[in-house]
Amino acid sequence: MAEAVYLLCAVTSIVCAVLLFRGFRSTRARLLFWSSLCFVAFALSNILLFVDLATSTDVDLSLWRSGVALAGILVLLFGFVWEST
Amino acid sequence: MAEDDPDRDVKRFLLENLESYEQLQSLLLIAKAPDKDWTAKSVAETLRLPSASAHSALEHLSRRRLLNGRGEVDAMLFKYHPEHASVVQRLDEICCAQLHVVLRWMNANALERVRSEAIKTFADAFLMKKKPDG
Amino acid sequence: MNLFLTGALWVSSMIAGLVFLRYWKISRDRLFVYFCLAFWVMALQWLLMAIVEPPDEERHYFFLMRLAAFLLIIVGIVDKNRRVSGP
Repeated sequence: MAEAVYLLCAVTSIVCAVLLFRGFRSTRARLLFWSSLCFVAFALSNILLFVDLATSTDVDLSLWRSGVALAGILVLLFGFVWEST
Repeated sequence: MAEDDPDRDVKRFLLENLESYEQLQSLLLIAKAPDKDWTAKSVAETLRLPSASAHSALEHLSRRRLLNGRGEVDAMLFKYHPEHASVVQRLDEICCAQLHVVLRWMNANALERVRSEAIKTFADAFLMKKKPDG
Repeated sequence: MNLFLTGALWVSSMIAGLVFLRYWKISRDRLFVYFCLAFWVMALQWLLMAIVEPPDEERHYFFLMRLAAFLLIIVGIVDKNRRVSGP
């Protein structure tokens, strides 16, 4: 059940990233580029979550998960600020 | 826009209907002679605009239902549509008295349109299929 | 360090949600409401994780909140596509 949750989140993030990147390619609107990077980061974070908690390893990936997710949101916020003014 | 702003309706009218100074000039010119039929050529000559600019402005105003356009594409006649007469009259008064204020409003509207366009582009990116109106 | 990152994630998610809310106010496109709620649910998840600091075994119950957030995004995308292609 938990693994399915993590994978669904990763898949959803990838779908969002693909849609946004496809939009960027057709419109060249840079806001879409930064947004797609955010969801790529979310996808990576969710994949790391899957690896970290669904597999039995001694390596704690929590810092990486949080760091990657934070980087994604900061990139999104950068895009909001930079491309809307 | 503040609720008690006396020019709130004029500002909204500008934001929703007029995107360029040529459109503003054309509308105010035609509103002064509401019973007359205008061509792009006559507007261009009166306002000393390039014909193409006048034609583009008149077509825009017609799409916004501020003018009634009829006739062949190459020789369309445009007539004032008085639905927003009171707002247009107020806009004319402000232009005569304080044109720089109207230009400032239009500049702000242009920035707002760019921002709105970016937001709309973001939302439309999530459409799986392109919109039919392309 | 983890607590710092979680705190930063909470704040930045709240701000992102606020931006989406503003985008909704400007455009009146319902998609942005879904994104706003999604980011605020993620923010709530990170806030609760920072406060409660659950042991590993229980953490996946908090990630159900992340599932809810991404389901909101999915619903928003489906809703937008149905609105456009609808009657």
